[in-house]
Amino acid sequence: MAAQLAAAAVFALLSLALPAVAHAHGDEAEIPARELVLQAIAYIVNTPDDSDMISEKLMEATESEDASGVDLEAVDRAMAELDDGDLVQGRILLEESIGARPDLSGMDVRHVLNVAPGASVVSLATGEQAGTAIVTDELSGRGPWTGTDSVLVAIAAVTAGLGLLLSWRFRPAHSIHTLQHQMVSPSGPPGGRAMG
Amino acid sequence: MSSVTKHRPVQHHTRRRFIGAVDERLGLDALRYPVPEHANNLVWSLGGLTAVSLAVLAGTGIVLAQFYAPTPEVANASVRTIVEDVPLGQFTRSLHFWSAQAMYVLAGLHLIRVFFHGSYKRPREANWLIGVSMFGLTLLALFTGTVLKWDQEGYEALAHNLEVGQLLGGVGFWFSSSFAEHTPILVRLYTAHIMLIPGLFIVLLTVHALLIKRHRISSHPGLPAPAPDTPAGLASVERLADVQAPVVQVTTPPGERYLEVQEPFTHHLRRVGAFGLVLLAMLSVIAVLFPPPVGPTPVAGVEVTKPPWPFWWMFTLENWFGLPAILGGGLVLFGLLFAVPFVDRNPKRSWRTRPVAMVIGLAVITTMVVLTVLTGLTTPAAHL
Repeated sequence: MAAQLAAAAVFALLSLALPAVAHAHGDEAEIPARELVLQAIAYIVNTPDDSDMISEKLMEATESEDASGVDLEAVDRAMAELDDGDLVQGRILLEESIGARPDLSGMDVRHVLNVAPGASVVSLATGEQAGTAIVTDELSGRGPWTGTDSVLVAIAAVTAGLGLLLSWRFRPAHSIHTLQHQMVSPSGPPGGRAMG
Repeated sequence: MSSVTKHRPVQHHTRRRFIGAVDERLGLDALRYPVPEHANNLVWSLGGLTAVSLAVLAGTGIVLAQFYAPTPEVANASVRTIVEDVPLGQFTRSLHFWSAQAMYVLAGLHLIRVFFHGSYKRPREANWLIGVSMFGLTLLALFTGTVLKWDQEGYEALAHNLEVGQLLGGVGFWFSSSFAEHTPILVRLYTAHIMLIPGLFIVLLTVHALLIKRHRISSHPGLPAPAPDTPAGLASVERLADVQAPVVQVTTPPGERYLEVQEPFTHHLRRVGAFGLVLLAMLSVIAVLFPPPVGPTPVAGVEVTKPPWPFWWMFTLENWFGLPAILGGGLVLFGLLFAVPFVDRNPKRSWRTRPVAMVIGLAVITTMVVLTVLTGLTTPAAHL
């Protein structure tokens, strides 16, 4: 407890001595609605169970002073869908509302690069801007087992066998225990005797 | 059969001549300097295995760099392209990812080994400092690598980094997006990841290796020596005429003498190479079985992820004390590590005779493990 208090004191002093941390949260009304809609989509993708944060971001979007580039009617419809628990339809409407999903003819937008219409007029990201036009789903790591996987594992097994064989062959002639024993022994090799 | 027996010496002779010719021009024989035999054990080969991980990272990194596009609009998509469209791209990326984890773990274990064997003591203080610096660079490489995939996790890591950069004031100018405001900071972190950090690493690694040659690999504190503990500094090494070839008499600065079984450094290298093959095989299997996912494209103003596990201990401190704790925690850890050879002036090297150092070392390790586990058990919280 004392250590924790001491650490807290150090960090408090540190935070006083150093410039104040800039907070990302400013006046929400000044944040462009497009940014807030993107944040809501990010919550849908990353933490779909956090409906409070999704709703909060969309409410802020509708109250934003800068609604340029956002179809607020589509946002309203999305909010209704989300209230009904339909995250998929809600997300599609939100993406439509910011023009991030312009093609609804069956082509599913997978990559950022595929957001072709309108993308060319979007200015390129600078500084710490994310440059995200659409929030993609996570691409899971492990897919179905393939023949390539089998070959790679087989090569790895051969490599491991070779490595084990060589590490056994190149092992030290004496263990630490043997060295400890023989170094102090008055007769036996390798040391044969202790000096001093 | 007889032709074979006649032919062998000729082959042997030709090989020796070839090796001799190469050695005459490249001086490879310099690598045959003597090291203690115990250096060929696995625990004493952890530094070499860290270097093996670095080599795998360099190889896979060069391949990945051919397909990665370090601009914010397409960085995440290019990683997906590597995974889905480039032949063996998934495996290469996964091997790169797992080699990075291995390098962090192996470097940490190597530091712990050096600490508990007191191998950082005189005259090896400078090499300890270089080793700690390389450990710091490993963390930086892990961090920048996390950001490069430009998903939500990477972007949040960057956001934390930018805030810490502000805490540093003018010192943190490089971590500010205003430093080069027309250039995406992702591009600058990419240059750091593939050029600045590896470049520094190679320089430090070279000096590290040269200092190992200069001071030799330290003796094992558990092997008998005339003093209660073996001092780290070696004044002279003298081959004994009346004993088997690899046994030498080592004389320390205070004039104490002990016997040591030695082998050429090349034997250490070949054992590390053998262990390295096993390591590569293990990492390859893990890479096939557990390829890392690619997260969603990032959005600013959202905090929903945890950092990579090597930073979890900092994340717990941040949960408790706020953002400055990331900076404070890092400074305290590396301050302690850098101070070790200057604070611990006890010439004894066996852990049994260094209770204070052992208690402090174990306390630091335990604290980091507990803080790491705590973050593993919590859900991410918003800090920025």
